[in-house]
Amino acid sequence: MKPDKLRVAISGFDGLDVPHPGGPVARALRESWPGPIEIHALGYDPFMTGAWMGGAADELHTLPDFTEGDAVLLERLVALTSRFGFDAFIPTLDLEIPVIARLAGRLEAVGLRTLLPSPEAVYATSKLRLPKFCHDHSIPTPRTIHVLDQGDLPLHADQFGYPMFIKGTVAGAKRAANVAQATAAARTLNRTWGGGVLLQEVIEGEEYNVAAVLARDHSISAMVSIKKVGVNEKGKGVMCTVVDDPAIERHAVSILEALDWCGPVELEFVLPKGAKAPSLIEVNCRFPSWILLSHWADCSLPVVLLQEILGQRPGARVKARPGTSFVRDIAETAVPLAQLDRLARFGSVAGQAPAPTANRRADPDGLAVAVTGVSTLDVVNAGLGVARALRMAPDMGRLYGLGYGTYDSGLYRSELFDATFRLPASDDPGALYDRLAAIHGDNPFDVVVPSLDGEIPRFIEIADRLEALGVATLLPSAEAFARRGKDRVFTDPPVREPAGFAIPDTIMAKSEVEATEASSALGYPVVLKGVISHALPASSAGEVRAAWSRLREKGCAEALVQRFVDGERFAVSAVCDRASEPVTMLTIKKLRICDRGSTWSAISVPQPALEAGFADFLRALRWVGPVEGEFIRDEVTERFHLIEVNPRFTAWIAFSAHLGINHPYAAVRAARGLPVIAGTAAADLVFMRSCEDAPITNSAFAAIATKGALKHA
Amino acid sequence: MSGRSYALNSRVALEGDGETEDHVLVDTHTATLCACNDAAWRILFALRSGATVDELVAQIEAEYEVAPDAAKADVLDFISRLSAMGLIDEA
Repeated sequence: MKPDKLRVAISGFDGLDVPHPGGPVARALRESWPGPIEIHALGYDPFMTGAWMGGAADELHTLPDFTEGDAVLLERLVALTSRFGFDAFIPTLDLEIPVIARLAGRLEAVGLRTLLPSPEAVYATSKLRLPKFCHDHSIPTPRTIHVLDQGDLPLHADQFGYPMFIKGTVAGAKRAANVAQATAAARTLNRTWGGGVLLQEVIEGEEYNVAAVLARDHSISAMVSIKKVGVNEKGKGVMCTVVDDPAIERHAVSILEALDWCGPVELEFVLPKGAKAPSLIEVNCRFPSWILLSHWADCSLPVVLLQEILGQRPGARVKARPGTSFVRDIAETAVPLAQLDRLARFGSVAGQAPAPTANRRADPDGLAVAVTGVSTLDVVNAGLGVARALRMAPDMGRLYGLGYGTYDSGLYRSELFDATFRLPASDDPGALYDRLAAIHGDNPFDVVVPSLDGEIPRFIEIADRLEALGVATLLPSAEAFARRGKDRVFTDPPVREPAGFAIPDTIMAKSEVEATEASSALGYPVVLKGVISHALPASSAGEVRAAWSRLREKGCAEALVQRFVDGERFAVSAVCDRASEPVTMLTIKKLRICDRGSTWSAISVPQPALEAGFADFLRALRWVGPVEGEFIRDEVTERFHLIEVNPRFTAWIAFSAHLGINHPYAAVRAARGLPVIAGTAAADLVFMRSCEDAPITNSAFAAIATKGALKHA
Repeated sequence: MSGRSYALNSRVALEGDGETEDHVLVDTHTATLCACNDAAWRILFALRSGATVDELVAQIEAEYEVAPDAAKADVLDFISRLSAMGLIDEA
């Protein structure tokens, strides 16, 4: 007997800071499918962080790598279908779509239905073939060439002209302004995806995307157009809005009609200023990661796709509600290690229960706290983790979020903050004080926790005035702050030979020539670091030049050249009281990091010797407040090497609250002179982070943009 | 011009949050947002079903303590800006 509940398998729950679409597809179905539904997350790695979020999936299953061949993958999918009774499968990864499309007939024979374009249709619009497709159909597209042999790249790049995009044959794109950048980007992308790289003309303009579902007869079942309103450094839309521009839609329809297609599809466009027709940048054979927006706009494309898969022809085409917007944020959780281990060993495990609805009710007698650093635009700021941890503390009062930009996603998180405010984007400490005093006048708070490296000197400068206002801080002196800077901590450390870890050889470089000379002196590979942020590895003089050029673009006037240490990455979070005594410490091993080095999965692994050595280091530094030491354990010698001292909480700090040793809560209490009870961290939990889109109203966005304040009901 | 009637183009969506009085005009073709003050919001609301400049001026005069000439100048300036953005049509 067929069960009542619909069981849907979905892949693509990973991707870290460039999220795969599976999580949003699952959430859209969960929230808008008209009937009971069970979500089964399929992945090629147990660390599919999106699938571990509470309520994301009912069951998680691993699949064999599809490079092992069709037969192995087919066998696993058939076995899972037989055991769990899948009704439909929605694959969402570029590389697996042609494979699953090849297997579609055999999967259907065992009851697992899909709706996908043919492998030939996917190939015809792949990155390598798109220029021909566009030429054949008179569709504007950027000039693109394929360079297979990396040795030919400098010649082709110089002839092509700068700037350009270097694109991988499957995914990934980097903008290059010179031959050094182009060569380095090509090497990285070719190493990841193979098949050479594409050089593509840069067309400046506004970016529009169109997602659609095409039926088996190739007719358009539903379509949603969006504009990328906010774009991060990687070119990913962090705030997108549904639009109904007839010109974009006509153009999209003409392209969709030219495709020999069924199933989900995404068209990416750029509209140059003054142009009538947009240029087609890419055709993707799956839903985009912003697909949850279609659900919020009352035109859920995942629901339409599932109806098509099941042969339930949707009714009249529904139009998405224009003006619907989202902002990209993150979700975090802690997963029992045993669950992760079970998935790795047995291939299937039950999903995590939905998180309880956040209780934002403030304790009227609790401490009110303001937190800065609430953006996820390019990197995940620590303030979001601080706020999450404080929300888990027992006796907190009101919580306020302080941001600098309208795209700071945390400003719109009503489950975290009672109200949010914009701070002046100014280097003037007086302007910062005036704004904080004005906010405090209407919304009093007891403690402020600055969470961004760049703002901390300004907070140090106004700390006494804030104290007089009744606002406590827990901050180091200006001298201690300067001494932990990358430009001093390696060349003039407070402890020359610290116990428990080593300080890597480092040379400061103020020019490209000095950087290459320093690299030669240290031997390759090296890593080039900006004094404030950014770290780029380099294995040759050419890569050093490319890294130097990238750092210059980021505004770095000088760089540290450091011996590259290969090994597992660790971090020690600590809070030091006003006597520079660490009142709580926590060491984690990073299990998944994105290419910016941010932690997306980690596990607590106490390292007593490292923690003792780092505690001595902090005492010698006379540190006060939250701090994070980042280390790499040399894979050969097992010795820890210090790679950075961050003068604030780390972005994964909410994990400390999951472990029962809430560092932000400890810092807030220490700031107010209250006793801090050091606890013991719970064992066997794994930190997981995933991207998560959140709907926002245009009036909320406008309130932050124009008034700099937003009260959450 | 005073007697001409104008109406919002169908590409315009008006979003208001009554509780916090944050009002926004959305150009649904371009996702452009315009935060509106109270006077702008009143004019836009009137333009939803079409209104002449004289009617708009009268409404502003009635709601705010403003001289007729100033009200008319403000309304004409606002109409001109909306027109330049393609957000109103002459009815």
